[in-house]
Amino acid sequence: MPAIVYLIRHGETVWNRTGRLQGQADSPLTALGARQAEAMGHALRRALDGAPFRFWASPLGRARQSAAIVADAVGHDYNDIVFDDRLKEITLGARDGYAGWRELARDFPEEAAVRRRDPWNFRHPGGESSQMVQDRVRPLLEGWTAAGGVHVAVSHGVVVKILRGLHLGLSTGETFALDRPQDAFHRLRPGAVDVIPAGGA
Amino acid sequence: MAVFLLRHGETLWNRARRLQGRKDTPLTLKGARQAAAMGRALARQLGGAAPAAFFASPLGRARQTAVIVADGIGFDPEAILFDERLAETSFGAWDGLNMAEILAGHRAAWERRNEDRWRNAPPGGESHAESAARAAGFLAGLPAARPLAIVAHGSLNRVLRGLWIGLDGSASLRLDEPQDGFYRLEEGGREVFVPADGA
Repeated sequence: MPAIVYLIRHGETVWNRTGRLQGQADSPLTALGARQAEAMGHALRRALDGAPFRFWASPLGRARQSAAIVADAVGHDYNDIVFDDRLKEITLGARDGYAGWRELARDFPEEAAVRRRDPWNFRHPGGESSQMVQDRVRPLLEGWTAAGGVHVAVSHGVVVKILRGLHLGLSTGETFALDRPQDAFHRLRPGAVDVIPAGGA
Repeated sequence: MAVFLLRHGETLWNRARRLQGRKDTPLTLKGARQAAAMGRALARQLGGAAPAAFFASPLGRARQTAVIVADGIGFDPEAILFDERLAETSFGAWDGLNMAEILAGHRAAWERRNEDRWRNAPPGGESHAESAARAAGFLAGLPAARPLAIVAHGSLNRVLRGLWIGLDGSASLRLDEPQDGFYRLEEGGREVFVPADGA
């Protein structure tokens, strides 16, 4: 059976709302974020339609909390979730938790200039490049494809974009241009990616 | 106006009947709904007034609940004041265990603690008397302005309420630990339960 992979981003967090850069730092879900996680869980239950699946998640707090809500909505035991460090968000190293992109460009103009020249390979001090994230998630995607069956993964904005880009063979520019919804999620199937709206948050 | 004392919503270990103490698990779906319902009920209590201050325990389940409640009353979550004295009573070596595991692995310590549940701490943990001492320090430092909102924990809230209404230790340990409502602490040592419907 060919693999089907559902990729879910965590619900809105306090820092998502204020524009603060999270990376591998963390902030709690907002009230909207908790409702989004519940809505995505209900939509996932409808999409799965009873099919057995394996549940994967990032171990970062906002992903754990979203995964706990999604697991309850689909009737899956949280204790059976596989927390995999490869699903963590890209880290901005020393810049994790920074106030925002504008503040970062203002305070570190030389870094911003380097980033503009080659965003895909740019690393904040102590951080990861998008290429490094692609390198760590590629074996995960290959593992799901080789295993077949249905997989659900609760992860993060950048990681979900890179997984979708890998699956479709997109260029780095096309991958950057992908969206990062929290009121919808994505389904990877052979040769295609579907958007599944959650609504009702 | 009053001091509103809330407990976090249901967590995975609450549901599994495991002691959490200083360890932490995420809110369940029910727990997230309870937090939202408490936020709505608190908004009705406040009647449009903003809390003069909003305090919370820094443990994850209390942080998460506090943010959902803050959103429910239109309070900026980044203005929440996290206070270590509101952290849950530590059960030490028992944090994360259920009753069967405590009895299987720590029976002697369990029996010793039951000889005086107020003063005897679990191994490596905190006695209720010790957590009442830090709760008393927190209460003594509360601003005079009202209303205030506080999000903390089951055991910690019991001793805090006991101090407010003037109970002795063993009586405070008989208080409840609801997650579908909260307590309005009024001047003069009174408390009133406020149900939060629709969780």
